[in-house]
Amino acid sequence: MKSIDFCALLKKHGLTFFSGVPCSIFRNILIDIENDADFTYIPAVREDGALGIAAGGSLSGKRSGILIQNSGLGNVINGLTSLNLIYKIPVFMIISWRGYQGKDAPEHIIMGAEMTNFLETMNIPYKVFEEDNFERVISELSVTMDSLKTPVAAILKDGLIE
Amino acid sequence: MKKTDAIDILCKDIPVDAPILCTTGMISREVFTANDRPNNFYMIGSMGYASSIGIGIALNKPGLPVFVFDGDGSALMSLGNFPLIGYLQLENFYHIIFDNEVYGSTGGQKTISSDINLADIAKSSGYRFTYKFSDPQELAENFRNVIKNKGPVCVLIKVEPGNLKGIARVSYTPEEIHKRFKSVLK
Repeated sequence: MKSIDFCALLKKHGLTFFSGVPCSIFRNILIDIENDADFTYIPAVREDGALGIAAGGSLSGKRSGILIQNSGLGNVINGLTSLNLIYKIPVFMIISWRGYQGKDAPEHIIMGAEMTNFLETMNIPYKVFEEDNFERVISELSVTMDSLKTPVAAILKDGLIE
Repeated sequence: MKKTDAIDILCKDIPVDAPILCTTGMISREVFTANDRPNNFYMIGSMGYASSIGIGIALNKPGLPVFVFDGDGSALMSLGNFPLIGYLQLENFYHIIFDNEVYGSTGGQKTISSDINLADIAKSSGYRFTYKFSDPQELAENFRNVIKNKGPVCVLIKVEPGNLKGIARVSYTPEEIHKRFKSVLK
């Protein structure tokens, strides 16, 4: 999917306030978000900062999200377990999947294998994007996020966003 | 200056509709005891998140002055947010650091803030105004004017270590804190 169409999908679901730390997998999404006045994107200095900023957005009544690489999932676990999950503050997490199927540089192999386990351990609903399910993933996670007031994760593998 | 006296001084002058993000630990409990309002967001975990939550609110509620009550420990933990706050030049951001140079909630272990100046760090990070108070009289006389300034403002308040004996925990559940806070955030 073209990243501009991906951004349109986010907009369609009212997801326009984001913070994050870059990953090359979603570099085009970042470019398009930053060029679109309908979005606000705040470049955090670390992923926990991004989660906090999104929590502030959510508390302010804005449907908020973060864009992070899975290497940064470890940096948000305390925020998820002692802020979002217990205060019931929703956040739409778009997490890129480095280390997918063990094919990547060494620093990504462990989190590549364990990311979904970490999410399951925290009972955080997640879905993985494929070529044909972008709309469905965003739509279903949106509904889950709104009804359960929980963080949700949409996992993005390499090569799916142009 | 006792931390609880500093909190009393500040709460007199902070506008009634201003949100206050209280960091985890004693500070939340002290603000809850001294001046509980729905606009107070009491963090009971997620140490270091107060300033980033404050950033998110300040950006979305530009008409409201947003107050972050950090301790020296939580400020040190989230030092990376200082330059971000400076970079964003948030005009409605008021960062208060109650600096007792210890981790008050875990047994009073020393932090390193005795040897470094967090207000200087805020200044170099691009905060528009930074202040340091250690005298309660000066704080009482000046705080109202300090917060009239355009932000981001950092106010470092040196306070004595030590906790109020038997101070209560925040009695609301996290969900209640969230609900109350969100309902008054206009």
